[in-house]
This record gives sequence, structure tokens and C-alpha cells, in this order.
Amino acid sequence: MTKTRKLTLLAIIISQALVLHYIEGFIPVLAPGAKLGLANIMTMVTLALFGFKEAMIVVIIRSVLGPLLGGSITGILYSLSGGILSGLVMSVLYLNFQGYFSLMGISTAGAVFHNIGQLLTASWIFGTIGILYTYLPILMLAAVITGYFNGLVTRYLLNYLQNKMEIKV
Amino acid sequence: MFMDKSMKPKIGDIFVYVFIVILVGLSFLGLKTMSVDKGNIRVQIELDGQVIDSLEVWQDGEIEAQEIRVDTGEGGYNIVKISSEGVVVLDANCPDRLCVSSPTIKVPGQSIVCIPHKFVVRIIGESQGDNAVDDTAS
Repeated sequence: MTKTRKLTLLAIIISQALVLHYIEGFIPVLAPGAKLGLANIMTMVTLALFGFKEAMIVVIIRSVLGPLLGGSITGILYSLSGGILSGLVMSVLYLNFQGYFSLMGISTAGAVFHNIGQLLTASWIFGTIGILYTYLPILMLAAVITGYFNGLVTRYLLNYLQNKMEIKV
Repeated sequence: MFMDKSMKPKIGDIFVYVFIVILVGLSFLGLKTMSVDKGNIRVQIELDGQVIDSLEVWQDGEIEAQEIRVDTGEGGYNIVKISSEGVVVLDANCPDRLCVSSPTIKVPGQSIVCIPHKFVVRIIGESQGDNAVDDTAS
């Protein structure tokens, strides 16, 4: 893949992640505080197409720009901590243990650690670990469902990119 | 790079779900057993990192039940009930209302948090002193 092609693809992926991040704010979710985490799909696609470094770049840029689109400045802290932690975990699982985990499993693990990262940040900001205990169970339930869904979407998307767009994965 | 095209779950996925179950179990355990100190107990109400109210309770058993309404700005409110049974958030107009569904707290170290309103009510034992948390919050 040429440099220009790579740069363009990464730019498209980041903007898609941002749009997904933005529109999921309009989609109501059953559990309070839970989100669909659609931007996670783009993180995994980057991981599959490029690798660890590029995936983390996408995560960090998305986490900084996302809250600016429609959130508060403190939102950056939350999304960065969650994004980086889940990005790291998914990278390790995907790059080192790919034979043992399906994309759905990797995506679910990413969702779980995204929540853990955010809750740890919230615990630190509020100064009580109680936040973790209160929010974790309901967010874990949501992570199982959204994680599976996102993994499935990524699976179909990667197949499509390979077959129709002839992008080498 | 990515060769496997199957939609089926794999063996490692089980570990992810087991991990989740363990986490949920631990957090329920954590909710039940949060901290210990005895002695003079205070109920402290914080808004956006600032202590706005602090009441001494339960030194000798029974106390009179009281309800405190806390205005959190921008039309938001949380109503806290303090009684012999403990502290509970009766009502709030935050979007997720997790503070309302939080269980009653009574032991020092326990707290109820409302993230949307930046509202915390916590129980503090004398030995814990004023916590060092407020410095980080602002």
C-alpha cells in the first residue's frame, strides 16, 4: 500500500469513526449511561487493515475530536482513558491471540475495558471507587450485547472490503 | 493479515464472558462490603467537588429522619433522605437516575454518586478525616 493511499484511508476511517460517534448520541439505549460504541468498529477495522500503531492513532484522534463535536471538555478525559485502554486490550488480543478469539469476543473485551477505563477515570475525578461498583454491572450487560453486535459488523465489513473493494486485509 | 472469516465464537470468547461475570460479581461484593471504620460518623454532601453540607449522625443510635433537597444548578435536584436506616437518594431529575436506584448506605466509606449532576453523598468515619479527594476534583 502506498503512503498516499494509507493516509487517505486512515483519514476516511477517522472521519467515519467521528460520524459514528456523533450519530450514536441520537440513538436511545436501554441501559442508562451505556452507549453503542459504534466507533469501536472503525478501531477494529484499522487494526485489521494496518496494525497497532495506526489503530491507536485513530483511537486517540477520535477520542479528542469526538467530545468536541458535542460534549464537554471533561468528556475528552473519559473517552481518552476508555479508548486507549480498550485499544490496547483489543490490539493484544487481535495481534497475539487471534487464533483463540473471534472478532465478537475481541470487540466485547474492548467494550468491557472501555467501560472500565471510563469508570476508573470517573472514580478518580469523584474520589470514590463506589462509582465503579455502581455502574459496572449494568454497563457490563450492555457491553456483552453491543460488543457482539460491533464484532459482527466488523466481520461483515472486513469481508466486504476484501471481496468488493479489493483492499488487502 | 486477517485470514479467519468465520462468524462462529471461539474458545477464547468464553474467557471474555467469564471475566465479565467475575467483574459483575466483584462489584456486587464491593458494594456490600465497602469499608469499615466506626466512631463518629458524618454524612457529607458534595457538589462538583465542593463540600456543601456535612452532618453528624448516629453517635447514639436513633436520629430523626430528615430530607434534604440539593439544587445542583440548571434546574437539577437530588433529594437525600437521612434516617436511622441510613442514607438514600429519594428522588432526582438526572437522566439516568442511577443514584435513586442505588441501595441505602450506612457504613463509612460508602457513597452514592450522581454523575450527571456531579453530586456525591458519602458517609465518613471520624478516623478517615477530611478526605484528600477535593483537591483533585477541581
